[in-house]
Amino acid sequence: MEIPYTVSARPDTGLWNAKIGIWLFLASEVMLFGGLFSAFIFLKLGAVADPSIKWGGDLNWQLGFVNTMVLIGSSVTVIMAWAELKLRNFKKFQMYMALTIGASFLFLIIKGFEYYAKFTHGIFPKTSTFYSIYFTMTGLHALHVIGGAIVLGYFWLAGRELYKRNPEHLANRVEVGGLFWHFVDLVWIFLFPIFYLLSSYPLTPAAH
Amino acid sequence: MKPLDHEETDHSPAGDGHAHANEHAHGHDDHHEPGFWQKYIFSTDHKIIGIQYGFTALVFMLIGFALMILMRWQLANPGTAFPVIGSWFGETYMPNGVMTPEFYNSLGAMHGTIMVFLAVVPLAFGAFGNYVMPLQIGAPDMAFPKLNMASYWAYFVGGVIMFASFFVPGGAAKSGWTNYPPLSGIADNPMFKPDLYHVFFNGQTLWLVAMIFVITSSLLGSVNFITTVIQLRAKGLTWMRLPFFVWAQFISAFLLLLAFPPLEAAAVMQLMDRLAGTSFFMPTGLVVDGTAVDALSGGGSPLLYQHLFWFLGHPEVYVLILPALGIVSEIIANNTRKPLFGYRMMVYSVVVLGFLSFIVWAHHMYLTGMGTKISMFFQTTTMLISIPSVIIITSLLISLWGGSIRFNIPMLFATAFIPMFGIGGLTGLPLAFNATDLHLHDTYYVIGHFHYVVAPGTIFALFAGIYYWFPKMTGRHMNTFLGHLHFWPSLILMNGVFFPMFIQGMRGFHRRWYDGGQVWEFTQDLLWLNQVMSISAFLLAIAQIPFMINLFMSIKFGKKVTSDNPWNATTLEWATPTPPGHGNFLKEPVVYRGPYEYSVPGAPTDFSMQNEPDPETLQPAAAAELPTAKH
Amino acid sequence: MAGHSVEEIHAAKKKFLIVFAILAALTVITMLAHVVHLPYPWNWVVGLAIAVVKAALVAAVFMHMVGEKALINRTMLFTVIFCIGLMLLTVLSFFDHIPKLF
Repeated sequence: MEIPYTVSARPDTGLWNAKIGIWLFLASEVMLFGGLFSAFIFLKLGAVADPSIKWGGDLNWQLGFVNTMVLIGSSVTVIMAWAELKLRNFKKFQMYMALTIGASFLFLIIKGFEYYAKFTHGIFPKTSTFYSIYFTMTGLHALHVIGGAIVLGYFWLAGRELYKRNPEHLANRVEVGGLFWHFVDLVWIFLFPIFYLLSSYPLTPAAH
Repeated sequence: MKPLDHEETDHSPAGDGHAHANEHAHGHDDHHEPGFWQKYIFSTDHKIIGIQYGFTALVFMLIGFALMILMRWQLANPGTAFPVIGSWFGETYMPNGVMTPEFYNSLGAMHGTIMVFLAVVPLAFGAFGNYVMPLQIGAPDMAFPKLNMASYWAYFVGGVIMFASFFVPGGAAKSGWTNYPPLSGIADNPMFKPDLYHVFFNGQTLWLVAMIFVITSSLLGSVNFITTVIQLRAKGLTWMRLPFFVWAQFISAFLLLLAFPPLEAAAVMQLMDRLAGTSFFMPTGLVVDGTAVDALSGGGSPLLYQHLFWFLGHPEVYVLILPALGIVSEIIANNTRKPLFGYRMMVYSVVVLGFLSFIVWAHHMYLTGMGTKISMFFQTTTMLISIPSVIIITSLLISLWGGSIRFNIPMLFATAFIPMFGIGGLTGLPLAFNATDLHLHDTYYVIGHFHYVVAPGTIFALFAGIYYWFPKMTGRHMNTFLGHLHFWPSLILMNGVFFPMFIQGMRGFHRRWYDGGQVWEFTQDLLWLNQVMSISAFLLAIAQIPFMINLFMSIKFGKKVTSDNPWNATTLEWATPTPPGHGNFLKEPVVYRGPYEYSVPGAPTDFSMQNEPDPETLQPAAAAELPTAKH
Repeated sequence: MAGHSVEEIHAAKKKFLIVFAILAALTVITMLAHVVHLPYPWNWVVGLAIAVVKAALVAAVFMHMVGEKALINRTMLFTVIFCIGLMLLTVLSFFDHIPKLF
């Protein structure tokens, strides 16, 4: 018994199954991070009460900038990997995947260093609601980076076998993995300016 | 089922989970028989998974019911020992068989949690959706069979953790099924009872962890359902030819997909509050038992939790009702021998209902101090959402008109559903208005309202569905006499349990009172209703025994069906062998007509199955096209 | 995506690199905007606007939403609507409340 449309598209929808699956999953992830961003706004508004406490800022924005470039770079490399796979340039596919996974490691190392720096200065999630939401959101994001890296890593390492058996199917799976990866990049595109650059500035005119 | 012509054969191991990776040097063909574990325990077949969901959910429903029986004794006879089994619960929870207030709270919180998250939704969506939906769309299985299996096991693990939470020091979660902070933050907190509680193994924390598993299960399931309906419909099965049951499950899947994640976020944040000392939800200046708890709390917002909870909470109640409306629709069309009235309007209504359900949530929060503008917004959207709801139930009612009604057991439950859901729905209206909700919020009126919708509403529909699809699953009918013994007392007693709640609620009886309200002057003349409700509840429990006997007995001894389509129904699940085998259909079904072609003028029989082409003698129906353009 | 020809993929690769350059440039602009300390509300407006543009580029080009089937685009549209609804209504309820009585 075969499940149809796992590799080729269904004629009337024009889509193959996993493509719909991943977009639906990403929709749920939008809501997850949306809920957390709502929490950020709510907590920031609530923190206006005591202006003597500085809420936000204090993050290493230079490192954040580097991480942003790293993730955007990895977004490009993963889609180049897909493109090379579609063109059946297996070696180039391998190279771009390696770059992507390398970028993810670099991101996690920098993030780990940032966390470590905070912890050794006695700053923990419970230090203030800013740090609560910062650690929770960036932590959850980092878990998604790890998850994405594992999936992409599997395609990279097992790639040769999968490529030999059904290259189009591998291309589809890399596309699906890539979509997830782009979403991870997307979340960071918002996390970076909000947490690293803007979080200490008041949200409402009244607070001036 | 042979692959379609243009389909590239899926060679990957992640495709259909069998055969290709078979390294055995056997002489026979690819499809070697899976062993017991792969066939029945770790199956990827949607029918097995549906049955797994079904039985697990029914067990949890029984547990949830049992918790309520304990509570109802306490409410009718506050401070008295529970007869016979009172001593079973130990000295901490029921010293001398008398329930402590904390244990009552645990029972209440867990009754709600178990019924909503572990019983009704897994049965309505997980069990019926999994088993019936792929059959009704002519599919060989779900789009992602392995994901389907993962989703069941995630639910199972979550359920086990929930159940285990009763047995940790301090007992199960006890801050309502809603788990509002700051109460939930200080409950089961090591800061207050360091000897009794564990930082991780306490009821509230385990509740949160279990929910993460249950939510994950839900998300995986939703992705599967939506993709399957979009991609695996049979040839000729256009959107407006789908049985309403499939539409209902489809919309429910979207609700689960988009509404659960904010609750997952809230659960993570509450866990951080408990385990990492954060204060997402714990406000500044919190005082517990006269002591300020600055170490525990500061800067957080309890209101934030409520928004995130109810953002899920409201779509969740539509997930509770939509599959039931779907089941009832199928059974009513089948047993009136005529098409559903207003099918098209019902479809539009269910889509609009799904959309609106995302923007009504704060009608659960009218008493949080929200201002008039925002209250008015939610009031308006809540009133609007009653429209599609009424359209659907009215269509079902009108569908009975002029029908040749067969009152078999499924039809009894389905017909009873209509007025019961009607009462539940109508009693929601005063709750939708801020002004009247001021009086009714957190009273027994609310409990009466939602129980009418879920208990003689959804659960009756689920019973109907079990009696209806049992012959397809097992090849045998359930016993009719036992069915009557189940139905009639249940109908009467459901009303006995829940109707008095409206009366008590309007008087002002609070929810979650551990003593049934006996200490207040204004409740005294209505306290006798507690007895009425409790006796009805005990008898209702007994009325379920014929059902349980029937269910198990009929698997082995039920009257055998005489055909694959014993109800003479039109939808595709009845075009399979009984029970359907792996791959479901012997040959790929092609659909030629709508889902409810009963009593078509000029047809030889009073029903025409969806996959039945027209003979030349009749007016040709729209032939099956293989659509290639967007439709 | 089996419909892509070799030429289309080559053209796409070029597009990806151009978009990468734009994204990098926008990130640098974000940093500059931060360093010059724009006054309220322009700091938020500029910061979020640039983020939205970057996100749109990633979604449209890398995630191929331009040219994607309507089913997917509409699903994501409704998701974003619900997401914004959640954020907006939650925040509005923060501002619209019964005045403190004490």
